[in-house]
Amino acid sequence: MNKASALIAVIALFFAGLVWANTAVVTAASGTASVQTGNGPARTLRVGDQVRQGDTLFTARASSVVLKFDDGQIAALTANSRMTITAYRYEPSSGSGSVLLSLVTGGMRAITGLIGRRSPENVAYRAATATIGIRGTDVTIATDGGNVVVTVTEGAVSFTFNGRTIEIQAGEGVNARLDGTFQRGAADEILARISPELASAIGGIRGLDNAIRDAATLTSAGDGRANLTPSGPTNGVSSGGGGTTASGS
Amino acid sequence: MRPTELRGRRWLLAAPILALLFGSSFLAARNLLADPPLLRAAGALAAWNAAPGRPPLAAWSEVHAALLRSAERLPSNPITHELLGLVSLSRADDARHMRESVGHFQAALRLRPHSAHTWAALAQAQYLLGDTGAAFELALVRAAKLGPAEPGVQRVAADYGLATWQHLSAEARAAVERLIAAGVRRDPAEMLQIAHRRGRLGVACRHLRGASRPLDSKVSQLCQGTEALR
Repeated sequence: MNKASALIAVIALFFAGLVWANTAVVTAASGTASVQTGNGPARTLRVGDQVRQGDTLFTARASSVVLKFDDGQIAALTANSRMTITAYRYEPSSGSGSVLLSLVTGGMRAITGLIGRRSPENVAYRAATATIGIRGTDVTIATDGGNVVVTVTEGAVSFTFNGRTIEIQAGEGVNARLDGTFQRGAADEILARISPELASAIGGIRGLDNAIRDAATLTSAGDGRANLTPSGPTNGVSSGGGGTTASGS
Repeated sequence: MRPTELRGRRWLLAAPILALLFGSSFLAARNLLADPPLLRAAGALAAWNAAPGRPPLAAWSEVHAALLRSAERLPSNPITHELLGLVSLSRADDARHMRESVGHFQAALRLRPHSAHTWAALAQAQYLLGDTGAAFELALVRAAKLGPAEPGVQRVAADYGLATWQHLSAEARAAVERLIAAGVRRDPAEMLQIAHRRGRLGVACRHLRGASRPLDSKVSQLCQGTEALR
């Protein structure tokens, strides 16, 4: 009967393992958001769902989703966006890991967690053909038809596009165009010149400030579960500040 | 004849039948469970569950194929179908295997319709396939009704029940809530954690008064703002 007990224990263990490690949890979702794993069917994304490396998230018109990863990293997607969690690995005991989020289209605000604070070189975002390496905590990215806009609220990012890498500091932004040219400057100036599609994506991100703040106040237990301990906002998230509202250069 | 004597005679008749039943069940269980692929699959599932990421394809394919052979050899063993369902479910990145898992759980349930764990697993597979219609709700309700005291069933039904709460029928909500109440009595922190993640704290918090364990201050703090403790 030991074998029967072992089998039953394993089946029970499977259910116990409902909350997987190395995941992000959906802390807010509005409208129609969905997730696709590999070639699996897309399914509706609901608050509390977990997403993992390899998953692609979609948001429809007038929709948004906010994710909190195990290390505290936050990613908020605005309407008409598509983002793939290309890589996510987190080792809670050492606080190490790596993050690579690929924004295919739409807008995303990303606030780094423990991995980004300890090993910023292990965190990167991709948008169209641009790669954004982080040196700070809070960045907003929008992409549409190969054009990419990035603004930095806190810290700095290295922006690689068309074979060139530039550093963008807090309060600054960059607008990279499909023809390979880009313009760098104060975030407000950059945002004043972008296409309506990109402006819409950035505007949508601004509307997610409250949901992002709520996500930040949930501390991660490091095993995919939201910790029950209430805590204050993490770095880079303030009640009034959106990822694109920084001024000055 | 005295009632005690009558009872004694009944036992004399029933004892050999019961012994025969237990004996044959035991032998059947021993034979079935002696099937090495089942034990290997169970061990592999445990290992995959503990490790981050998805199971390695080569190892997964080996276990999957061995279980399919077992199912072919002995199609009446519900455990084989259940394990096949769980193994298929572990490859959520492949639509074909995800759909397969539903079929295996349904096959297991045809053989053992009173398994709350299998109904819960079926509900989970359907949710992950994006099918949260009538079949999902039926699986959820059956799981909740058959295994109200099973911790694993409580977790699954609470998780997916709260995820789809606003779309559930009144009957399904009642069944899920009874199970959440039982879960709160067993382990309030765990059930609140699930409800918190699903943004439905109120449903769990209103059952906190029935909790058997002393309440952690963090737990009660979490419910402070909800209607239940006002």
